[in-house]
Amino acid sequence: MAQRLRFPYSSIDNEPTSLMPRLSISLGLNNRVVDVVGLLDTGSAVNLLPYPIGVALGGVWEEQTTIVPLMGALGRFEARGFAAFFAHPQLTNNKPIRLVFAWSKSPDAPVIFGQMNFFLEFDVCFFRSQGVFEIQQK
Amino acid sequence: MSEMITIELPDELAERVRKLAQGRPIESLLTEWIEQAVTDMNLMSNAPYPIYTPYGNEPAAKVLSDYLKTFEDTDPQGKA
Repeated sequence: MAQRLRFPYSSIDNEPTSLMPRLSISLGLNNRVVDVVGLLDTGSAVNLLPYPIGVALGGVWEEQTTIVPLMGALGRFEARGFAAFFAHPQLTNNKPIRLVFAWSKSPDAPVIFGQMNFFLEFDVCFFRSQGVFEIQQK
Repeated sequence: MSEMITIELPDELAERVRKLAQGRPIESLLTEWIEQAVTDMNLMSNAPYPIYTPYGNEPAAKVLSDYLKTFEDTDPQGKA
């Protein structure tokens, strides 16, 4: 049975109002590994990856041919489908999980874990009043 | 048929827009932004308040779902 793990909310600049459920993980692809911190965002339909992270993973923009339509402020940047492997020493137990991302051409986009497909792979409970969240692989 | 509109931007804002334009005419960038904003408003027009986050929507999720299926069909185990 997958292990249920508890993580603290994290803040930016120690501001309590900036406490959010963020997770530090490793993204890997073709023997390249990049450590990222991503926001668990149940309001996001998709996972999001900024352009530099995809490049650091060896992604070649022109080779990703699946166009992903984003909206809002990020809608003015093109986004393409990109797959990478999510690994966390306790969460994934040495068996990386394939995540698909909307790889944005924006250099400033945050790393977002959204419904497709982070929340399909992991069950999450948020306890904001306690400043923690729990994750368990499906 | 198009309509010409004149807007006045504060210097600092105009400079920020110019940097984002990265050499493109800022008129073209502003037109693109307005077009996107109108598209977003049309999609949300049936809701009393915005219902989509900036990071995706049902069409985006469908595209990525189909994209994920291509891996499951051809490379289910995958290599990290």
